Amino acid sequence: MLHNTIPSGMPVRSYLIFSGKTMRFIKRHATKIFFAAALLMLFGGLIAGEHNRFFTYAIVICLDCIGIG
Amino acid sequence: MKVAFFQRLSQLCSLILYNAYLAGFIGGTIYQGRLKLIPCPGFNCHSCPGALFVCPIGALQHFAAYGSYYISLYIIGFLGLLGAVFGRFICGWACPFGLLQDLLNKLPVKKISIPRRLEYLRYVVLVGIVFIVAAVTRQPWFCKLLCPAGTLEAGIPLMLLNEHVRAMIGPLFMVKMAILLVFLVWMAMAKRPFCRVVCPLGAIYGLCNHVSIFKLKFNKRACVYDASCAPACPVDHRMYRDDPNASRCIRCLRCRSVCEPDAISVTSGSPSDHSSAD
Repeated sequence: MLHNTIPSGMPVRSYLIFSGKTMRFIKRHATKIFFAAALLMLFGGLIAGEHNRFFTYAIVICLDCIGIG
Repeated sequence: MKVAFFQRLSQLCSLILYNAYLAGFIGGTIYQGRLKLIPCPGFNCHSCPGALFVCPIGALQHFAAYGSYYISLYIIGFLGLLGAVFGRFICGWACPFGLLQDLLNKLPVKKISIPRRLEYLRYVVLVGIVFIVAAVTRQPWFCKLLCPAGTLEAGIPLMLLNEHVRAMIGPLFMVKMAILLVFLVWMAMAKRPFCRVVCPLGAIYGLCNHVSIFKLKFNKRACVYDASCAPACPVDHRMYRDDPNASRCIRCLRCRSVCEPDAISVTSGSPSDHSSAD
């Protein structure tokens, strides 16, 4: 018979994802994972051309910022 | 107090670097060059006549309010990268608005403390006002109403220098001036109230404090628990009692300069290696 929970009541899938080994790995490499994710997002944004969109917004006086808009 | 001197110098340098376009202060205009492609690491309004870089919170708001998708990968990636290396070190060493708060707090007026629970409000401001409210209403309400940096660095100088701006001033500007005044009074009375309670940029960097390369380590055995670090801390963080890498700590290192040698040290690496006290 197949069980979809472990004896403590935690679903098997959650148990596998959040098992001690996985969490230890994430904790140990948190800085690297975070750094890589940030780098990926930065380059993703650059490829999408987001910086050009900000440029057109940032070179005119922002009326919202100065309390007029 | 070598650390205090270098911190102040660094804050001053960041203020000058972020606002180095002097022609803007003469002509009442703003910088329109290619450096505006880069977000500013600290809290600095890009409509300030001298600003060289784009305000990251202003850009996030703009994207949430007017973009086709709501979260800017470029800005979040940029801030995440800085946060992954430094955490809130930038708040302590490279934020002009932090400098203003530190200086105003030196005024000899009655001092008040900020309840710790109020510090969670900055996450509400970040998620609620900067992202959700901006996306729903299609208006950058943080910049439009709450941001005192915009009024101080952009609104007042442009009102004085640019006659077109002066002609457009209305009731909203007066409301922003009143909000700025409230913040200035609060800054004189409490330690870094804007950083601790409102600043969405500080909230982002604060979330990175636990995973950043730059970390602080507290050694229980070297500490004499005389609370000598307490008056030196600009955010009322207690290194001997709280987590040394808590999101509140701006890593100004002033506690390290007044504390016992080896009690607080700078380290690098993953949280599993350094987060707990020995």
